[in-house]
Amino acid sequence: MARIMTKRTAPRRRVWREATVRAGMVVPALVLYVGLLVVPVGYAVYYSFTDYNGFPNQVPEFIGWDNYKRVFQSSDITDSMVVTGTVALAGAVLVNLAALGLALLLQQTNRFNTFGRVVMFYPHVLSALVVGFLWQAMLGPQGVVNTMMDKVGHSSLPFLSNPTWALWSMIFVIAWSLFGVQLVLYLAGLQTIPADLIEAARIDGAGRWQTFRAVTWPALAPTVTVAIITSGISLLKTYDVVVSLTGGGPAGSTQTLAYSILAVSFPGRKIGLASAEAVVLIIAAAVLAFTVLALRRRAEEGAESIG
Amino acid sequence: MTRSPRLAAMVRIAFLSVLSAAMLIPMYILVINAFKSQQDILKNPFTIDLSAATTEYLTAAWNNPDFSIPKGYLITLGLVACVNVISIGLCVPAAYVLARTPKPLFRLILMFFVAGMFIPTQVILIPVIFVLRRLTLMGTFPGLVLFMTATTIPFTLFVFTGYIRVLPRALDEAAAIDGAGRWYTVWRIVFPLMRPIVATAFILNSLSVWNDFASPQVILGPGSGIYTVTTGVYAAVGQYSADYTKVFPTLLLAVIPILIIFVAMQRHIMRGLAAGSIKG
Amino acid sequence: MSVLRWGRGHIALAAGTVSLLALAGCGNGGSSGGGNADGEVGGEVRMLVNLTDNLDQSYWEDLVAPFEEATGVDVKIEGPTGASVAETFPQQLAAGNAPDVIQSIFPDDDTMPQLLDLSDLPWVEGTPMVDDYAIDGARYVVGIGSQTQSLVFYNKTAFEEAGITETPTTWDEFTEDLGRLKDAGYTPMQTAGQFETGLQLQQLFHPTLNTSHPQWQSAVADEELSAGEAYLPMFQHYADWLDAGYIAQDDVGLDPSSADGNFIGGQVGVYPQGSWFVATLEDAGELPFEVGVFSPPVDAGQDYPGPQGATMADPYMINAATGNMASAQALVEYLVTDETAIETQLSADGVFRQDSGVQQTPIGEQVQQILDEAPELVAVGEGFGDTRLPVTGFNPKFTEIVQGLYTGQSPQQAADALDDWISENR
Repeated sequence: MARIMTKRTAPRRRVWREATVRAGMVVPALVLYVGLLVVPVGYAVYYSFTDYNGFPNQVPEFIGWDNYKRVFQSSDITDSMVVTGTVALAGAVLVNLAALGLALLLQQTNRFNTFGRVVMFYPHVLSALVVGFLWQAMLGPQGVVNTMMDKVGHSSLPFLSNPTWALWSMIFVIAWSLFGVQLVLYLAGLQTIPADLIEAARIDGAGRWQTFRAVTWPALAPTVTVAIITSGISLLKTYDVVVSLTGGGPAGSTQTLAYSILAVSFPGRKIGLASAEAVVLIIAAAVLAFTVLALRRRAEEGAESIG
Repeated sequence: MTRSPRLAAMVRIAFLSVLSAAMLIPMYILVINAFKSQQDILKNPFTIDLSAATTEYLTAAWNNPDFSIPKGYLITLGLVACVNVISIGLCVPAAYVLARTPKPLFRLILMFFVAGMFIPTQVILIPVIFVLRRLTLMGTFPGLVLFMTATTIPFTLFVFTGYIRVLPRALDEAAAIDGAGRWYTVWRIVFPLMRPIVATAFILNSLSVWNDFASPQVILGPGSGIYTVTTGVYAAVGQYSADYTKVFPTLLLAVIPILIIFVAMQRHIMRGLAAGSIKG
Repeated sequence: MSVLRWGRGHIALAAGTVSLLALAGCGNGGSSGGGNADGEVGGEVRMLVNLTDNLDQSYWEDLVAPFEEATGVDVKIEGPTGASVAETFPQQLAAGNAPDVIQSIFPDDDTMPQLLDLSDLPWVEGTPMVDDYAIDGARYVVGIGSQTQSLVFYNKTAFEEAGITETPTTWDEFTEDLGRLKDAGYTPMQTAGQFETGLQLQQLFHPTLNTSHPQWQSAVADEELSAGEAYLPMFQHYADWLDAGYIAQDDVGLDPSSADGNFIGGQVGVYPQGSWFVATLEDAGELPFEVGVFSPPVDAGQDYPGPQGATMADPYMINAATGNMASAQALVEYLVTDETAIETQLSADGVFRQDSGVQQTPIGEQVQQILDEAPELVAVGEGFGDTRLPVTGFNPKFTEIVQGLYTGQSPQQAADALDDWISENR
């Protein structure tokens, strides 16, 4: 018995030491992640059931589901959900159509195409806030575009002063600044398609469109799914452009949920309500995320069965 | 279709040229109007009379006491550097352990991390305030660095783990036989092999830190005296968006350096992004 | 000892100060029991201010420079990180880094416990409108004068060309005049986007509203009046004017300073604005036309001119939790009692103050006259002091609702939206 015990303790000590080393490698990342990302989500859930103005001398007061009722009953907030959904959906479609189309045109590597890629990508490095200010100066009632139209005798257009126009102007500006990133993803996706497959299709007499439908599109499908949904998720949190381009106006028509949280509820000292809105957005993003994973798995299984 | 490849190519090039020009129009307008007076801008936003051009407004924007562009750049670049160093420093060893330990607990931990990729970071900023306040890091540069690092961890860890999994195990087993410790193995053997994916993570994280406005706006606040390029631009332009002699010069000065960096590095940036996207 | 020190610092800056006030300040420094008994004037004071076209960073730096020189206090001017001080201050309170002195906003139920009760400070006595803004007798905010809110600036040349000989006193006359201005080729009435859309409608309506429903904010708070119903007639006027093309729908996307520019440029007939526009006009220099100003019309049968909306100008509040109480108090005392400081503030932003020595421009004199003739000065927006709505954030929401009128909502929808919002947030 005793002999066995001693035999076991030696490796156990080593296992223990090994485990400590491993833990030491994971724990720092875990602590930071939990402390500043998971705990805040927990706080958000907690505050979402309270009435709290955020000031140090006030204690959050538990009010049950009231904040969630308000989130879904207040027309201000439901309107901003519709805006957010429209931006995410229309923005994702627009960004991906533009990106895919241009990726097909720019896929060969030569000087001209490199220039083209740089030109398509550069708005992204300007940051969304700057892009918003720049386009505000272009599209405002007395901005560059309307001044030009005035000069050629055309009446001005309400790019930012009519609710419908303003929303679509904003979606256009977001797409303008964002599609370059997706373009790079599609270019990478296109490079993974074996050239001989396309060659073979051509030899079989397939036209360009037929080749695209029969070879390129199926091979690109996983990239497309992922790209649409990841861009959708990043569009769900649209905030910066709203701040600099429209300020949420006119008449609240471009208020996204993130804007409503950070620029309306928070300054309005409604920490509870802002938290409930945040939780709703997190759930929406999670639903989207699971959709990505599910669709992706299905796409991969499909691809495997073909292979 | 293949009958007129030359014609097709010409149409393609013409189309792309027009589109590129359209993409560059806002830049063109930004550049020329930075040298003009308000009246000039309102009258002729699309052309520039070189004899009337002036650098007066650019000088004023450069000397704006609310927003010193070199200071904003220095702080933002510092932020980018700190976030990347900490994020990569924490994620490489963590990803190594998670990738090399095929136990359910570690798979679970990895999934727990990955779930964070789908938290829209801007909307949890309010509770972050309360956490940082408790840590007395609210309104400080370290507070901002830590929060932004935390937001980069899920993605970085996810792609690193995926990358390490396909690296041959024989490498670190050989190191272990030679008596090398785990830490040595991670940094001296595995890390050098991770260069492409580290580059990708570096680029993506840098872009997101660089472009972020909400986090520095909320965490730094007006009292800290610290601003990034985005919050500085907001302070300098936000209240005066109709004064084009402030808007155009400030925006121009704010974007020139990053555009130069981008154009100089474009090959690496594009390649890095592409490398990551195939893996991710 | 510290009292002496405080007094010395104070006398050093007394160059432009009314000496009586200074003496009173010294005498009371010790007995007020507040921060200045144990603190010393010095160190750093953070002041959160609104930055605007004419009140920019350098204006504020210049304003406090004499104070800094005399006391050695370093005053740090901070602009808002949000849209304005009203949005930024509560965020800072939540973040635990609120400034020591807050300019431009007024106390409300939430912020009151965070603010210093200034009631017992001797120099607060007699400052303009201080008692109007007192809540249950407690004074949390002091200012340097009044800003007249309900003014209609007009282009006299345009009026002549349109054949209008007298400024309108009723809404029917006003509407008729807008029509004539339009026929004469002018933009009849200039409005603007952002915060200004709602503000202008309120400004125009203060006299009528406060004649029909005196202290309407309290009536709404007591649930005796529906705010939507009270505002409905004015929403209707706006809807009519929008239909008739007297107000451009595009204005809702227009920057307020561009709107100022349009009026100054001479294409505009009337422009509802507050008294601060006097300063803008002055900065604009020689204009191609003559500017006049009148009090907004009222309903037929009501007395003209009606009550004037007024707000305390340059309001200052002190954070009760400030770490530098003595200096924060000294700074606010300087800002509201020092003659040079008052004069600087008066002339910078079209502020009016009884018996001030500041020379008024001709247009400024007309404004002063409107102020003198007004039967009463009334609370605007959310209200002040004890005449307050039971909600905060009224102005941004109100602007959003008025913008709805520009974008196709009916007056009744706007009124309902207002009532819904108040009952949701009460």
